[in-house]
Amino acid sequence: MTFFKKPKKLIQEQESPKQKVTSQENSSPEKSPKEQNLSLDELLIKVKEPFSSTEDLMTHSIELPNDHNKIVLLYIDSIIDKQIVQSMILNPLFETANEINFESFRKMASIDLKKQTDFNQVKELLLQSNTLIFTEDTTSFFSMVTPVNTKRDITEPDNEAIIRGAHDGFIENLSINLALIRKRLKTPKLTIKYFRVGKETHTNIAIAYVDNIADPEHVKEVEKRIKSIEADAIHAPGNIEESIEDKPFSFFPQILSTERPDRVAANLMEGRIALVYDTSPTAHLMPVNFFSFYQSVDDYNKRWQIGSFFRFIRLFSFFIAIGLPAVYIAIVSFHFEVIPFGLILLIKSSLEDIPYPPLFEALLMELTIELIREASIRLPTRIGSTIAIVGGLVIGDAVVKAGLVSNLMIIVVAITAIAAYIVPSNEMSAAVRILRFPFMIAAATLGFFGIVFGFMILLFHLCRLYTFGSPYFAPLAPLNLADLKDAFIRAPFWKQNTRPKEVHAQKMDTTNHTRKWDNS
Amino acid sequence: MNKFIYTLPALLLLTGCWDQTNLNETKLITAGGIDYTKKGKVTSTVSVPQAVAAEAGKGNIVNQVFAATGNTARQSRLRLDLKVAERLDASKNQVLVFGEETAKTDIYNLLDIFYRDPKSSLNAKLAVAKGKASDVISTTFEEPKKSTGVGEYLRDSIKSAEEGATVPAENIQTICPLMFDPGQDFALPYLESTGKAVKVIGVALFQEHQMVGSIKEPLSVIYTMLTGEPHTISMSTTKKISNNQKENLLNYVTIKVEKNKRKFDVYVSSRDKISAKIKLNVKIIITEYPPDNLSTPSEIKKIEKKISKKLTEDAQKVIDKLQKMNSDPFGVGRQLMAYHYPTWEKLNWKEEYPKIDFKASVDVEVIGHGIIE
Repeated sequence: MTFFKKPKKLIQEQESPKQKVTSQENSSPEKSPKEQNLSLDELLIKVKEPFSSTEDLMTHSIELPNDHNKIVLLYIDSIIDKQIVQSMILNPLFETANEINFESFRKMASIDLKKQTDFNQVKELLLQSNTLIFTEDTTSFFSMVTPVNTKRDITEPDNEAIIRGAHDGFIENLSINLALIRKRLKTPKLTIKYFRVGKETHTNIAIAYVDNIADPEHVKEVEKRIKSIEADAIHAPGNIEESIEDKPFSFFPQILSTERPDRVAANLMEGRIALVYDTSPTAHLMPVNFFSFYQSVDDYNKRWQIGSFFRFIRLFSFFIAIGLPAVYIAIVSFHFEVIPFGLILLIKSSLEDIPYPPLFEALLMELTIELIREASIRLPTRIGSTIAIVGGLVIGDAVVKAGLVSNLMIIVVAITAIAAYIVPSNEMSAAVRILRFPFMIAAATLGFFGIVFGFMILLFHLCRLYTFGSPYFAPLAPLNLADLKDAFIRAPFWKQNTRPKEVHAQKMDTTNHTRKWDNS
Repeated sequence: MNKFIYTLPALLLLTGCWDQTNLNETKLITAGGIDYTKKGKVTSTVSVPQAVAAEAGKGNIVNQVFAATGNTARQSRLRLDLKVAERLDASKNQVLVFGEETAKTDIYNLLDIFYRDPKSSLNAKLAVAKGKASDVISTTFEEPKKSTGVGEYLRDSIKSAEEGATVPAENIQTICPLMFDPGQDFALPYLESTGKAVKVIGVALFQEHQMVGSIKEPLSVIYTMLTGEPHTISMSTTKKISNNQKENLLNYVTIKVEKNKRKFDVYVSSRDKISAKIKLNVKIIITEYPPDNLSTPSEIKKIEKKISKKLTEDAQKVIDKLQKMNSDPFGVGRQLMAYHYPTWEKLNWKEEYPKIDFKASVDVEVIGHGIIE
């Protein structure tokens, strides 16, 4: 298996000789300007050097009326809010102080204003929406975070809509995202750690976990993996996910993506670790198991019996989505004796004039459904109804009338398509949709035996899969009966009094003793 | 190792579809009939429904009947295949009919192919046709216009006869152990083709692998009751319980058995004299009795007595018939084997059975007489 080992070796080689360049430890070999005793103008030239050609790096010089000292504001025009600079820096400077000099900055009451002495930070600070204030004293400078407000409103995530419960979702702003989590977990134990990944993109991400619940080993592992990411650009959360997941060749998502802060908060309290991103409304949760992808926030807001029923429906849908076309192929091409007699002549008469073998027929229709799905994502909603007409009427009806596909195949494909979208997680739904193709081929070559064979391989894979040291197929393998209470069924809240075992939470007891009043 | 793993999916794809047996490339046999020709060859007659392309769900089904002759049952099937456009498949066969003459020979020789093939439909009903099986299979019915043909029609008429307790419920699978059991025999539905329909006329009794006689329709209900069948959907029969009414109709009562409890004992006396006794405890509902007066308990008692007497007579008649044809479908031999093995070992059951003292009695209790008072 040399193919799989190679990337690991590469990382090791890179790690050892070179020093890691992350935000925490910034130790460049250059001499600091302080030691060189530069004048202000020389200093400015020096700090502007890395940004040689960009035109939105602005310098704004002010000559102070009293001591005729020069103050220089340095900022990147496109990512700062000039209003804030005006109201928080310039106005106080000229209004409050009688004697305006750079000492007056110390007296200015603003939590965002910081005195900095490390000139290596300049580049970093500018890129993080800071306005820098340089004075004649070239040994230090001031910085103030003045980010431009580009936040969109907090809305409900479209792909994770629920009926009852909170309707807020993450947005493309890290501090707001963290605020949404903190709002739900008002505990000092909620720990946030910032990381910056991507040598050029400097993407901000944060790890969130509850300190006295999450397994320190897991936290360490997640931190280690994130720190080891070396890339010029980290654009999407998907980049991070692919960098830190255990088995990159598996079809199954091993990290749960969600845009719902309530889901993140609930999982943090179960001892999981969240990754929250700037510039993306997606948060990642780990370690998760297979059944986490079949949970929805909605389950907990329904009566527990109903919630359990829907859990069953969803898990059932997994088998339909993967296996139904395969079973259809296996039956009509190998084992039609299992069809009840009352049905067989109907099926036979609908199949009689189909020119293609069942596998081809099924592939044709499944690919068509995928085409429709893919097209409907891209299409603007205004012409989305076109797709419904083309997809539903033309393909559904005309294909049968033309004699390309049997009626029954249409039914099978439709049920399969619906079943695949029942999964609350988009990633899992995609995995299930892909998996049905190998199953169809297996069914066409070996019949029911092929399907059994396929499910066996699938089961092997699921049982062997570990994410961050936790078994992926828990609580089924290894079997833990107590944890089935939130996997197959949704037990009532007052019964959910232990955390899932595979998360290795420090505190297993959730202390859900909410019905103490009930003495009966 | 790696290369081996990569070739696996390729192997899966390369196998292709050669071993597929596509549903749309087969012809399904729904009913089959087997007869011997005068020269001792086997003629198979099969009914194959042929779907005529139409809107799905309203499929117009045309029934085709094919026949072929060969030296064995399998050979006749193989020859049938040569006559039919697509591959013949018997996995959805509903009914298998033997001609009467054929049934009187060893039927296992013909059933062998059904037990050997894993795909064959072991739940197909078996029946014996009065005359030739091919007549039954090739009957053109008046009744089923939209039905799927002979197979379904025959299966349904046998099924309804089973529900009415006219015939016992048997299929290819259930008779298999009985055929090889020296202590028990079986009975199959007995059909008759009337040209435009097929009628269930009673049961055909078997001894080991051969048909030895029949019991006709009203009496066959008693036969089914004697087998110990606790109840079927409508185990009904009409009995004449008096002679003195002016109108003939008024002499009859129709009963429906709600619960049938059998007590079956086989005794062996000290001198190895074997006797058997079947005692039925029957709870019935009177479904037809024009003379009425059923609201009075004394009248009920009287009728109970009359029905009990009549049924006991009929039961005895059935048993006498069975002993005469030397068929043991109630399994007296099996009881003997189980409880009196030394005796069983000593005797030749085939010779002994007709001579044993075999009695039946029926005790009737009326538990309902409809909603009129």
